[in-house]
Order: sequence, then structure tokens, then C-alpha cells
Amino acid sequence: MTNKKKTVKITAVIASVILCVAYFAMMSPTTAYFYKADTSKLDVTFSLFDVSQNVLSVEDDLVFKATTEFYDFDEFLFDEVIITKEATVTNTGEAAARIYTRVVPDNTGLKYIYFAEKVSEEAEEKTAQDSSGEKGPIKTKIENTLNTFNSSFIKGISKADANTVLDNFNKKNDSEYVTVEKGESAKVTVILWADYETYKDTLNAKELTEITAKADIKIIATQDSDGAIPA
Amino acid sequence: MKKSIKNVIVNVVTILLALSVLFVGVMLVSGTKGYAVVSNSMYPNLKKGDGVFVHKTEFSQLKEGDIVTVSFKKGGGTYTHRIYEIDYENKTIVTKGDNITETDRETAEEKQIVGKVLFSVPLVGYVSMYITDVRVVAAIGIILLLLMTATAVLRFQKKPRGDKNDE
Repeated sequence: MTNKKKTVKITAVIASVILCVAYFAMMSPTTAYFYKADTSKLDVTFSLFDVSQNVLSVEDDLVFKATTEFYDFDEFLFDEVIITKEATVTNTGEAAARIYTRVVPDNTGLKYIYFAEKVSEEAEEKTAQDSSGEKGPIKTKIENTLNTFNSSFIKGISKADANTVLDNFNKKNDSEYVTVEKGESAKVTVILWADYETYKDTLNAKELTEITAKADIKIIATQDSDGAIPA
Repeated sequence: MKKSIKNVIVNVVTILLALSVLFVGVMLVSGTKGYAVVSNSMYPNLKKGDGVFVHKTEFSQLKEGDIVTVSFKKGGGTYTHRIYEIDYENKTIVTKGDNITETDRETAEEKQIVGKVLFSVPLVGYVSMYITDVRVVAAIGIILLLLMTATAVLRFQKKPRGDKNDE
């Protein structure tokens, strides 16, 4: 083969590979994860919570219209399929208090994460800024939080590893608390979702069904001095 | 023996490449758009990582059960779901993901329908999911070019002088 023919052949092969790779690489994404029927976001305010009443426990039936995967960084409608429970905790006592949170799901397919934060103008402003995120402020916050907790939580992480990061974060979170001074408030946001892998076989292409689960959510207030957690 | 294996590999790669180029050419000429499935909402019929190829179809030709790609009413992006109900009079459709328990929230109008899914190809969607930057495509091209140039130079150097085949 002459050098000229060889050059033409090489050029043709390279051009072909680039054409094919470019074509497939430029395909737009489609099929949002689980585009659902109506909003399942359920905001529950636990009403004002006096630290003298030191354990507030709520067990709710959760009805999910769709499942999802929190570890999928391409999933941009996550915020649409979760159930959010919000509790505003106000210290109406005389001394500072610590606020702990516990979430106990009734099955392994029910996943959760929670955030306990002091209510302040700065925090409210930050939430408003987060809302500008393309994939929704809650998904963005979960991804950022887990990545800060463990830097291996990045795009491409396996499901098993992602669940380990989530479990470890929740364990660590359980031992942390928010200190609420006299007259101050804290907001606890519990985010729950139905895991796709667990529930995919129960979903049916022909019949409309729902996924139900339960979670026991406890918000615990203790004295700030010793922070002993009641059982 | 070694040479024949090499020839087989070269031939297979050449055929695959030629078919890929032909495929891309047909898609471009026919106006068929390719999309990468980034979720499992149509599982098991469409899986994450599949490529779906969508062609504009007259509304009257659509029917319940067809899989269509639809633009969101607000914001960018599309979703690819099955037609659950169709209203020919008002030219609207209700869609549903095979892996979702309820129909989609929004009724889609004719103008939102990008087209009907003609077929899907497994795995090709991953290309766009992982190559999200034009610079990556350019880098792949440059690497290929360097590799092939290096191979050609090495082969040229190995040839004994006066090899008639090379003339």
C-alpha cells in the first residue's frame, strides 16, 4: 500500500470514529427519572415544641407515587418524588437546649436523610439561593452534603457505595445536635424516598399502584449541659 | 496464524465502523433524532443507557401504546414515555412511564411531541452520559490520531528496504 493510500485510510478511519463518537455524544438526555402524577411533597409542621416536652414522635404512613435513585447525579426530578417532613422546633424554655433527630424506617427500601438547622435569616436566604439549581434544591443539597461528608460521593459512584455513604452520614448525623438558645428555633427537614431497586418489581406497567411505607420520626430535646439522649 | 487473527480483527473493526457511519448517515439524512435514556422510568422496555431514535410523526398516526418523546412545557429537556390516552379531537396525549405507578402530571399538546420512538439501541446512550464535553471528543480524536500515526511510523520503520509491496 502506498503512503498516500495509507494516509487516506487513516484519515477516513479517524474521521469515521470522530463522527460516530460525536453523534452519540451529542444525543440529548431523555426520560426524566420518574415523572409523577401529582405532588407528593407533604409539609408537616410539628407545631411549637417546648423542650420540656422532650420527645416528639410521629409515625406516618408514607405513600409514594414513584421510586427514585438518590445516587444518580443525572436524576433531576428527584425533588418531585420525595416526601418531605418539616418540623419547627422552638425553645420556649429558660435555658439552652440540644435538639436530636432520629428516623427509623420500617423497611430497607425506604431511604431517608435529614437536616437539622437553626432558623435564621441567613439560612432562609441560602435555601432561596439553592432553589435556582437545575435539578432541584433538595437533590443538590443532598449531593453536596454527602460529597462534603465523603469526597468519594461523586458521579459514577456505585449504588452500594452510595448507600454506605448515606448510612454512615445518617449514623454520624444521629450523634449530632443543634443547640437552640432560649427563644430560638430550629428546623428539622426529613426527606424520604422509595428506593427504585427495592420496589421496581412491585411497579406494574398496566395497573396504577402506590407504594406505602412507614417511618418513625423522633425529635428529641435535651438540656444543653449534659446532652443525655432519652431512650 | 497471528497475521490471520489480526486481519480478522481489522476486518471486524472496519465493518463495525462502516456500519456505524452508515447508521449515523441514515439518521442525519432522515431527520431522526437520537436521545440518551438517563433513567429507568420506562424499565424494562427502555433502560438507562439505551439510545432511542425518534422520528417526527403526524398526530393522527399516533396511537395508545406508542412510545413518544415529549418536551417539557416549562424549561428544557424531554421525557420519553408511553401514550396512555390520546385525544384526537384536542390533539393531546396523556403519557405514563412503564415503571411509574401513575400517569404523568401534564397532558402533552401536539406541539410538545418531538416524535415517536422508532427503535432503541442498548448502551449507546452512555456515550453522551459520560462524554459531556466537546473537548473530550476532540481529545479522543487527537489521541486516536497520535496512536495511528505512531503505529504507521513504527510499521514504516520495520519494513525492510526495497520491499516491493510498499511501492
